Amino acid sequence: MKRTLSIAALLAAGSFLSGCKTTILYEGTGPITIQGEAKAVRKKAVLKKLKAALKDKKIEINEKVQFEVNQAIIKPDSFELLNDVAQVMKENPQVKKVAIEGHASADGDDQQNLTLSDNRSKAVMAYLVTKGGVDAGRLTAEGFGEKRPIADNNTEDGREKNRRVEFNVVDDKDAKKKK
Amino acid sequence: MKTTAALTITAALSLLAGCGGGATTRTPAQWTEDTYKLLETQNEAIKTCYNSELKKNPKLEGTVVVDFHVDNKTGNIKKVRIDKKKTTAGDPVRKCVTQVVQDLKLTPGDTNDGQANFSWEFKANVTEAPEETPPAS
Repeated sequence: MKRTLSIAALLAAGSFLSGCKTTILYEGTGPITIQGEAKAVRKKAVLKKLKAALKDKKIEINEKVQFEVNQAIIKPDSFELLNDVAQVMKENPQVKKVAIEGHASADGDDQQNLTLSDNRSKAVMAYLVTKGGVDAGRLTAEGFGEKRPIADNNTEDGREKNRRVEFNVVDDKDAKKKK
Repeated sequence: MKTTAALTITAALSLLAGCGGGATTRTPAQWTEDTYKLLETQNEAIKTCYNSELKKNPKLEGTVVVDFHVDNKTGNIKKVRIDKKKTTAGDPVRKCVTQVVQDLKLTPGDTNDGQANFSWEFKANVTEAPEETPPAS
């Protein structure tokens, strides 16, 4: 009897004292994972300006292709330039064919200049195919020696301009006409 | 004897009625389970908020730990408070959580109030894009 009374009293007292409720403390058993979708972080690409650009039926280059003196060996300084030429070709598949033309100044023997310019143009073509990944079928290479000057061969400045490699766009139609 | 009976009936009725207004009396485990279910309905909202913050800073990551109170009668979540000692994520991510959580309502109510501690882990899932190639001209 006494025990029943005690329990009841405790229940009642507990209820009143606590205001009939208590606060349950609880916590999550682990974190809720939120997987974000961060937009791709673009590397801060150094937007380097290409040294070559397609313009008016030509791939214009803003510096000269450099060769070892009297040899058809391209200097490493020009690799970047030629890589850019290759990139322009890859980005412009509408360009069916590019004629690589080697030219020389009037200095030296005519025949030697012709041979050297021809070999140099072929060295450039080989580089574009093997290193630049350009399809060989899109390229031709020919040397013209001193036959096609663009500047005065009587001045050093003019002769320097005449020693050059050009990249002329030749579409299929033009190529057929030439044949 | 009459006194005993009266006290017993009073106490029993009090307990049966729940005294607090809510019809349910959850165990701590049930509190946890029900709260998880409620919080997880907001995952998309939190993710949307998080993604918009990621646009500003793709490196936002970390953990947000939050304490909050659940009112027994209404089930409303109140007093949302960041546990600064355990939280590693920055303010923008913290706001994503607090803004969403503080308006939630756990139904049904309960005999008792709840005092909870939950955490969110934020992962940016950043993928790097290939380096941009410059234009040909």
